[in-house]
Amino acid sequence: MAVSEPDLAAFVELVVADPAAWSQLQGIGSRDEFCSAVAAAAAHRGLDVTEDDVTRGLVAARRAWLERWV
Amino acid sequence: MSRAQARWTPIKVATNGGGPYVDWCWTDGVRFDDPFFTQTIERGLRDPFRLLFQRRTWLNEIEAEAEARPPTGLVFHLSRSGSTLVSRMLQTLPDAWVLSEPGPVDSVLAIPGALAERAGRLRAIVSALGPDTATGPYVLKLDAWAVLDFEVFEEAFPAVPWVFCYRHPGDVLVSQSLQGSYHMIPDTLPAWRLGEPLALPAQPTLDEYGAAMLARLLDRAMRAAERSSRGLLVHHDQLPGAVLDRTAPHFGIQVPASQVGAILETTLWDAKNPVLPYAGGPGRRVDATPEQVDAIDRLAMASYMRLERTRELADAGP
Repeated sequence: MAVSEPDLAAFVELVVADPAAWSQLQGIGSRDEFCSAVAAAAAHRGLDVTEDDVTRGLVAARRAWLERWV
Repeated sequence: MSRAQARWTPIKVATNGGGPYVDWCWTDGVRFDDPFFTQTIERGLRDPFRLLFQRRTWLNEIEAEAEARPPTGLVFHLSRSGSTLVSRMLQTLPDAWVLSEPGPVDSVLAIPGALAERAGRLRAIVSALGPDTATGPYVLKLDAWAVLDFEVFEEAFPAVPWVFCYRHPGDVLVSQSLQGSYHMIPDTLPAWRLGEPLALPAQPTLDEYGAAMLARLLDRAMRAAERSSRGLLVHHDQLPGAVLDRTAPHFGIQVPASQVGAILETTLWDAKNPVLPYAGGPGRRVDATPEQVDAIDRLAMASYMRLERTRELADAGP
């Protein structure tokens, strides 16, 4: 994955492997609300993920997609 | 219409220090009904959940797990020759799963290797891109330069029928000179994918390079038609009728009479930008510069005429 922050990367792996955890994070259209929800859900699992980490993670994922041919 | 699918879809294949890897996007609820695969993925990735929560696997993991899920038909083309219209029309069929130029297919073809290795990777990624259930046709429209790798497709899917859409290379060259594709830019495709060097004069112009590239694609289609009994050559002038009359039957696709109206409705709209009505009109070569006419005449017309003769003979029947 394109995410580099360790706790966020660990959280992404946890979520991807656990579809039961998706419902609280899916269908959130607003980026701010999404970042806040991800940070809260990560904290619930004992991971230190800030809203800024999530924003950087989204930017990194977008960049990885845009640079797919590079 | 193409259905949504509850699944992970491979969206990117690239290589890092550990080898080729695949990035996957959760595409449950995303309808694959845009003119191009990339547009559908772009749309999906606007959802922050799908953007952030991607999976990454090694490509060889999916090679090991690949199910046999061959496509129903393959669409090769010369570019600007109606192949997007073909895929748009087939997309309207119930339960059809039609993917147009999915990037991961080209990415695996761009990894060098022995024929069997490349075919294995191709089978794996095509299987991963395919529908979860085989209730309808699965058609893959490929990039224009994919016909250079025809042998890899033949090795991977020996029983799968294919079509090659093409037209007068002057029409293609003029269109490409206005908005060029990747393969028409000199040296973007590595030499090993081209095979023998293009037949170019010293210090070729862009038009000469483009004409020689078109000749190469036409020659590869000719070679494919000679070695495979599963091919069908479709000239742009035969569209849209050749989708219902020839391509669908060639792929073994039954088109319900109740769907014909919906399929033909597609032809009223610009295939690549379906918010615009289809403009039609003569081929672009009426606007060709003298240099373009000359480049096509010298470098591409012989290849085009050979393919035309082959198609006319095939169309005339035994």
